[in-house]
Amino acid sequence: MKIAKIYLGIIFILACISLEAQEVRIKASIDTNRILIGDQTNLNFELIQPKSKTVIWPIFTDTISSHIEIVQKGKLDTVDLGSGKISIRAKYLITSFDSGSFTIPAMEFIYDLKSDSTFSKSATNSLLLNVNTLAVDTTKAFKDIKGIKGEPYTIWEILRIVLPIILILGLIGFGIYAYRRYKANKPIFNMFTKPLPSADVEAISSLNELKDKNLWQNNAIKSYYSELTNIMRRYIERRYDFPAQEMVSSEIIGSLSNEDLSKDLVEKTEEILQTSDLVKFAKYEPLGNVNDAAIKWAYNFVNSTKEITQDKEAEK
Amino acid sequence: MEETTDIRELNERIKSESSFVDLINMEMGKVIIGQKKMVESLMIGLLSDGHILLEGVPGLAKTLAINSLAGAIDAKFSRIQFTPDLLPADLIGTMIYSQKKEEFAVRKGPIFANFILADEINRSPAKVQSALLEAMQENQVTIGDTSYKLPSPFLVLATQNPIEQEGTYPLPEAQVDRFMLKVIVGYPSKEEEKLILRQQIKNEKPKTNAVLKPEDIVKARAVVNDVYLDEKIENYITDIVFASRFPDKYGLSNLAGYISYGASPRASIFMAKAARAYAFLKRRGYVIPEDVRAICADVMRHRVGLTYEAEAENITSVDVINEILNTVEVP
Repeated sequence: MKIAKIYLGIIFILACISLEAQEVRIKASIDTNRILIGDQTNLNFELIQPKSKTVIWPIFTDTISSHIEIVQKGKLDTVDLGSGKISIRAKYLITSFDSGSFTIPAMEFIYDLKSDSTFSKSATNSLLLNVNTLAVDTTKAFKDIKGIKGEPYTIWEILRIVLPIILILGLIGFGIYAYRRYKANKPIFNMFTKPLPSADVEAISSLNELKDKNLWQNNAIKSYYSELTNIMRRYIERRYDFPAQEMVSSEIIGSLSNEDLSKDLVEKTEEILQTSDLVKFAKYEPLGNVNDAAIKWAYNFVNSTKEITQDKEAEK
Repeated sequence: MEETTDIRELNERIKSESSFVDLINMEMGKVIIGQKKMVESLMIGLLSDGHILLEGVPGLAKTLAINSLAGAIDAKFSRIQFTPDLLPADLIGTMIYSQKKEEFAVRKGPIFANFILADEINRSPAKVQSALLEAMQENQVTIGDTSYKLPSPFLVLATQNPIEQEGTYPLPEAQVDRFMLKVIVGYPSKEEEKLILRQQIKNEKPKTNAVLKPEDIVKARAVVNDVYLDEKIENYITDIVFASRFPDKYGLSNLAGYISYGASPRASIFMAKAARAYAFLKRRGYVIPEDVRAICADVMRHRVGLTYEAEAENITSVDVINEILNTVEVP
């Protein structure tokens, strides 16, 4: 008899465990059952089921009933409860634009769907949602509906408008700059180049270098006159702003004659340029004193024609 | 290789050998008033064995200048008026059957002369132009099976009229390229025009006297060939020609859209030859950059092809050449 009682007890416990494992429980709740018209609240579902079971949720469209609308469908949130059970929670944001008391009907969840189309089901409890309107003070005059109130602009919204304008204006500006540089036959990207020394400083430095090379003393007379005339052409071009490097000697003299220079200096320049042409193009070999006089003329020319403003700056 | 030419000695030689230039200028001056540039270009062509194409509106003494130059040199001169019905045989000659001798005999055409004035060359069809241009290139013509050498000096001076283009046959680029110089003849100045008027109303018809022989020209050409051309000048010439072909490489990207094709190697050759002749005319035994610049436009203007964009913007080949000269660095 005692043994029989023990057996019965074991069978009862196993049966209870088995029933517990098969159980599917569904619960619906609402954050608040009293809202103002147009206000929103959450409709929550919590499904507790065995892991192994497949439960079919009811299909929600955009409404629950003719008075209750679904604003947003939340994602399913699954939590493992242990002992072969899981909890699946879902949130639906609902609202209503009619006043009154509305029932959220019981929702059926289907499981244990078999091949002979029989199934088990579990339903939620039905809920009541009270939708209230605002109390209207009829003693006061009615006012018109207010317009849509604009939100204040954020920095990002301002930048989203301003930045493209700045970018477009910048591109147009760069386009104009690039076109002008292109037309003037100058490189487009030279804004970051180092500023050049003044024309006279550059010329004197180049003349010093030329002197140190001792070219004519080493029989490189042609190179000596070529370099000398190149230095002076560059100086004249920068100092008087005419393209001396692309001009022939007679053109340079013609242009210098129009500048405020002494007659002697122009005549001496002409003489040196003619000598240079003879050396460069006619294999002429002047005497040493002529070669020396040529560089002396160059120093003298630069010193007597350098811009006065530069002297003033140096004095300061 | 070291050049052994003594420039001082050459200068002296040129000073003595070029005295005839003044004589020719004097004789030409009797007939032609003004047009110094045109006369100078004719002399350059004469001294450097290059043919010349003269272009200008009617009445600018193009034909008269060539006629007078031939008159100043005791040389055989032929004037050929190019017309649409002219045939190559009318120019170079043909084989004629002699019934008496019962054989074909050669009848040489007017091209067998020292100076040929091809008047209004663009009025004749391409086959006649080709016959002339072949003779210019080869200095010989073939009649039947035999080739005949043309006399030396042989100089073709062609004229064309830039207006009245209807019914003309413009010279193809390849044929224009054979002319060493293309000279644009402009109007005389007001003072020159007054002198022309006075001369003409007096009914005077001044004529040039022959002051030179063809042999003198051949001799002078040999001296011109000795005029020293330094490597720096050679570089300057090639830079100018290359700038017309690859303007981008010479900082002339603004010209790239205007040039459809650059100058041919003939431009470099003729520029060197013409610069030498110009230096000779200036009584110098060596070429300086001034000489190159003086002849550059005449040598290059018919060798630089322009695009439609250039034509639309009224940019001429001379504008392009001037831009090149103003950009290429002078040695």
